[in-house]
Parts: sequence; structure tokens; C-alpha cells
Amino acid sequence: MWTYEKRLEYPIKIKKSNPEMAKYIITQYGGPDGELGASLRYLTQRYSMPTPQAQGILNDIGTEELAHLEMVATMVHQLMKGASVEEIKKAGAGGYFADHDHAVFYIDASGNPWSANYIQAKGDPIADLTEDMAAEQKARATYENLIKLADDPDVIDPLRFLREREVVHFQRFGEALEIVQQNLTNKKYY
Amino acid sequence: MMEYSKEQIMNEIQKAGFAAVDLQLYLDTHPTDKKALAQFNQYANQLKMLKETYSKMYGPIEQLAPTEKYPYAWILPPWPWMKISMIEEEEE
Repeated sequence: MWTYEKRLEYPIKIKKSNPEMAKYIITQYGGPDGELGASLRYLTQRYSMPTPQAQGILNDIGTEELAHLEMVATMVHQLMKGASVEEIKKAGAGGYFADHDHAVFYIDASGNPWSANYIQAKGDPIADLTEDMAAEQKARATYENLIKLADDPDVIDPLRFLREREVVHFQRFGEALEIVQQNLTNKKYY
Repeated sequence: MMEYSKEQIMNEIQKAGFAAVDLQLYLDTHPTDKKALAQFNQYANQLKMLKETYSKMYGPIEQLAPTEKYPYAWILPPWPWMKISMIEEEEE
């Protein structure tokens, strides 16, 4: 089971609304390389992992991704909060406003809704862990693009934290892959 | 600890919490690293104490931790996603 802690993993205190930036950051909420896909991918792949290390890492990174999903939502929420309809229209987020007002919804930066097509659970630990490593790199690249698009330090700071976590997750998945490969090799000698 | 503001304690919780999360993931793939295990326990204990202090002073932080606050304070702001301006409005 999961329980809730009433706090963010890393502080987010955005003072200035910016619907244009919200429109970009939302891709890490419901986009192809976003946190929803990351969490759901890892949590559903854990059932077919063969070693305790791989089972643990998928369970626990899948859990941390939920905290990142909450951070991304918080950024979008705070960037939209207080923005007038006029400002939203000017930022090119009028279409988003028509469908969702100031709410936070699972779409990418171009408005496509989240899809399970973004993820896979192959039942093959080598294939799944390799996908996970690629997913972390794609998420890192997305955060780097978002940092380039941002100019508010209140926005850049949490984006940098999230980018750094992708690097750590990539490292941990690499270690899990190596352990699984070793495990499969050893089995052949029995 | 008592001289810490609400924001300062939350900041300390986030620091200890982050160290614990990072070490916990490391331990998943390095379960025999004794030094990392000791470090994890150090931050996990610190986190536990900080959360207890925060809860007593400012309200519950863990959904299922015992709470003496009456009326039930879990539902009160700030929720983590709230913008500072919004929290001040609600507290007024």
C-alpha cells in the first residue's frame, strides 16, 4: 500500500504566474517522457522482475516518480494560479483553458492526452530495464529543454532537481540490469 | 529545535527526506554496503524526529500517524501544492 506525506520531496514556491511555462511543463505530467508514464511503467514492470534488487528498485523508483508527478503538478498549478483569461489567451493556452480552466490535466505540451502506448511491460527483464534506462535519459533531455525555456529561478530550481533525479535513476537501473544479466548468466551453469 | 520556524523545519525535513530517499535507492542495488546502510539509518532517524517535531508544533504530516490535534487538523492548509499567496488568504 501507499500512504501520503503532506509535503513535497523538494520545495516549490513559484510567486509569479506564467501560463506559457505551465503549457510546456505539463508535458512532464502527461507527456510521452513524463512522470505519470514513468511511475506507471516501473510499478507495473516490478511483477516480472527476477531478482530482489530489480524488484526493489522498480518498486522504489516507481514510488519516487509519484512524488515527482506531484511536484510537476504543483509547478503547473502555481504557474496557472492567478493568471487571467487574457494572459492565458496571450500565452497560447486558450485551448487548454477551454477544456480544463485552471485545472491540471494529463496532456503533453501539444495537447495530446496521456496514453499507455508510451509505456511497455514486456515480461522480459532485460528488455524492460533497457526501456527504463532510455526513459530516464528522455526525461532528462526533456527537463533540459524545459530549463532552456524557463527564465524564472523559482521554476528553474525544481526543474534542476528533477533533472538530477533522472540521472540517479538511470544509474540505479543500469546497476539492476547488470545484476539481472549476471543472474541469468549464472543460471546457465546449473 | 524549538526556535525553528515552520518553514525551517519543513526545509530540514525535505533535506533529511531527500538524503534518505537517495540512500534507500542506492541500497536496493548495494544491499551489502555497510557504510551506506549506516548513513541511511542516520538520515531516516533524523527524518522521523523532525516529522514528530513538526507535527506537534504545526499539524500532521503523516496520514496514518497518531494525532492529538482537535478538531482533526489533517485537512487544514497548507497542502503541499498550494501557492504561498493562496495559503495566506485561507489563513486570514
